[in-house]
Amino acid sequence: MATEVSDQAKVALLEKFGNAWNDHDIDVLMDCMADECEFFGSTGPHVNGSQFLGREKVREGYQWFLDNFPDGQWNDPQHFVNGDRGVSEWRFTATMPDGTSIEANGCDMFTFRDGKISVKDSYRKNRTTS
Amino acid sequence: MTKNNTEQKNIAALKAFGLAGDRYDIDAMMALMTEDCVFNSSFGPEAHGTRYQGLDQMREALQWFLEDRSSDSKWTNPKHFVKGDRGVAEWGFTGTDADGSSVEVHGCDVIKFRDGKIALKDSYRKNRTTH
Repeated sequence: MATEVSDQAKVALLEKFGNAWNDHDIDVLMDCMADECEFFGSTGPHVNGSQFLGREKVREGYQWFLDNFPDGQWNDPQHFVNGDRGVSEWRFTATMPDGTSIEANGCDMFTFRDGKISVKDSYRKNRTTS
Repeated sequence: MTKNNTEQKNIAALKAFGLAGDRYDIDAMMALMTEDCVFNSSFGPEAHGTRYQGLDQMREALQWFLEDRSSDSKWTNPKHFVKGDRGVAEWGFTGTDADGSSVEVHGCDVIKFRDGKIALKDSYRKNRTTH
């Protein structure tokens, strides 16, 4: 049965989720996710970037990020929620696998179900060098 | 103004902005933005993308995006939600890129409203890799 969860509680969930990214804590990340969940990464071959469908794939996708950006931080987060939709905005900083550093703004478009995250749809600014 | 009235006014402005974009109606889009509006585009040399500030730069940016760059840009299946003075438009984009190649990607605008108008439009697009 669906439970009524306040917007305020969902903002708290997004704060917990954002902290877990900065702590690189995969178990806390997955604790924020609904049993049936999807993650669409900002970069990939699909119209919606990369696709990770189902809890196991989402976990693999998150772990890939944590492994590839061991010092990755999502800075200065801002969140807002209305009903079953929410947003986190952040400034991503990390050392890339090739040793160069990246700093780019980004955001997550969330969908909630029963007080957990059922969809994380991510975007990052496409930072050009010129 | 009550909170609900604010949100209704804001979402109406966001939807009207999208419809004006579909018509390439730059005047109608400009009428929905504050005088000190800021537009951060989805790409550029800075962390927040290329920044256009104020109505003059905004008009130049919209003319470039809508008229100079691509004559076939379309935003499909828009979805909107608003919370207070924050909001989002999500859309599919189809059009022609600067290099002449056709492009189809999802994107979104993250918005700050003031007085029922758009004060900040922060745009994002998926970085679609070749497949």
